[in-house]
Amino acid sequence: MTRHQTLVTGMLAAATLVLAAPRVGSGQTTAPTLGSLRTPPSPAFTVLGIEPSAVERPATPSDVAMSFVNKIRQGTFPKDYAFEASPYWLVSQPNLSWNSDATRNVAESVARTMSLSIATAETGTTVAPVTSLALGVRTLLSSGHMTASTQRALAALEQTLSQTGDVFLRMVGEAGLDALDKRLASGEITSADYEARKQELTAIVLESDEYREAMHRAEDVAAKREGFFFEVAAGFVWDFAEASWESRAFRQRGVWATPSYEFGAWSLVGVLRYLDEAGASDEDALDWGGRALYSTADYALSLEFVQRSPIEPADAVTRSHRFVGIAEYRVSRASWVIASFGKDRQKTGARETLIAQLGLAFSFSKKRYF
Amino acid sequence: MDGDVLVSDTNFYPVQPNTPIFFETRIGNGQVGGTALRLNGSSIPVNPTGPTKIGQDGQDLRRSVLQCITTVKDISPTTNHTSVEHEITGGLKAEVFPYAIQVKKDKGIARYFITYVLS
Repeated sequence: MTRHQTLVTGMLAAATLVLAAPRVGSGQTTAPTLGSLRTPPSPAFTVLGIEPSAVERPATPSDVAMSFVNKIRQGTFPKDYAFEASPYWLVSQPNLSWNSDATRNVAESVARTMSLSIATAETGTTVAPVTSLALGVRTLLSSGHMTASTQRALAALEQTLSQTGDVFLRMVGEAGLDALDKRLASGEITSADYEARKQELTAIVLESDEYREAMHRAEDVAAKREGFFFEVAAGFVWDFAEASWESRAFRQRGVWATPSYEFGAWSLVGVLRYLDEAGASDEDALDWGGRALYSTADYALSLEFVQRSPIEPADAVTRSHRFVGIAEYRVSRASWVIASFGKDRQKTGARETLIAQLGLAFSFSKKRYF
Repeated sequence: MDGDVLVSDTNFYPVQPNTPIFFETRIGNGQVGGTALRLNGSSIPVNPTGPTKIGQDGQDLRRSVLQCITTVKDISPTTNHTSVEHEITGGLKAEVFPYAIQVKKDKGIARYFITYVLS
């Protein structure tokens, strides 16, 4: 999840809480959002229960090294640190063309979508300080295929970029490079002198109105994939009392599996979610279910079913399910009205299970669902 | 333009007398790009899916200048790396000229403006 998507999710929850009406029952949480069944984007942050304000997202291996070095300089064990990286994309991939990425086998999908997340946070008190460390991993075993419309758009973009190159070469030639070429070929000037003059001419052409106008035709293309997706993720948390390695204790783990199928306006999403806390805990649970979603640019309809079961008979979690219908309608470019109605699962210590909410959501992302 | 980057370079490629050469571009990192070519100031249609023939049968390409620009647009949400390989064959030996650069921000443009002096 990008930072702005995280922001949108937070705003969605806040807006729903504030504007919810009518509301029946007092023990309800917010209405399920469209992303509630998704695999967590950063498992380490999810199992640690934090949304870090700043996440290091290095682009190269040297960035990774600098990130760790900078943190280690601040102390032996960084106290607040969030890091996320996709190993495959840390280094250049000169042999990967967009055409060859249109479809992926399992190994290619795993390599190209795997991300690792690490987070540390202070989770204790002043009297009993505890530093928690979380590690997470997520990847797609299957990542669908590039849509035919995306492939057509990218092929057209290739052609446009070639045409802009023709414009550029013509203009730079007319600006004086053709004459300079002859002097270079005949040995009148050195390649160093040639390069210096060539770059001056290049700068002039790049700033010209004619070239800029040509580049306006090279519009952005948002590559879209569809078909079968299967995402898996896992996160693990350890506590370190008083920042001591010897006092480490395993606290929690979570595993998610999210198969989905996307075609046109339809999305079918399944979920298998396992949350387990070490030691005495009454919230260990296994969730399974799914969602069917139909979405257009202006509205969306969905049905969600999730069954929750205790891991062990001793767990306080009761076997229950949630079955909710959600309707969304766009009221402006970046705001949506959301109505949800259905049965929520039974919460520990609460009787009410009815969901009936009306909310307003703000989304500044081009992608409506994430 | 904002976020755009430029790679400019000049190389020498030895050709055989009275023999055409072949030029091919490979664009990596899952990015999208297009190439334009000019030989001695004249535009050459580029084959986007394979080698492009430079010169005609019997044409002597010595002392010619091949201008090439490959314009790459960052479409990948996962990386800002771009890379280009220019492969020239048909001369005294096949040669690959690899280049790479990162665009400064998402959806940026990387231009690889490479001059090949055919000697």
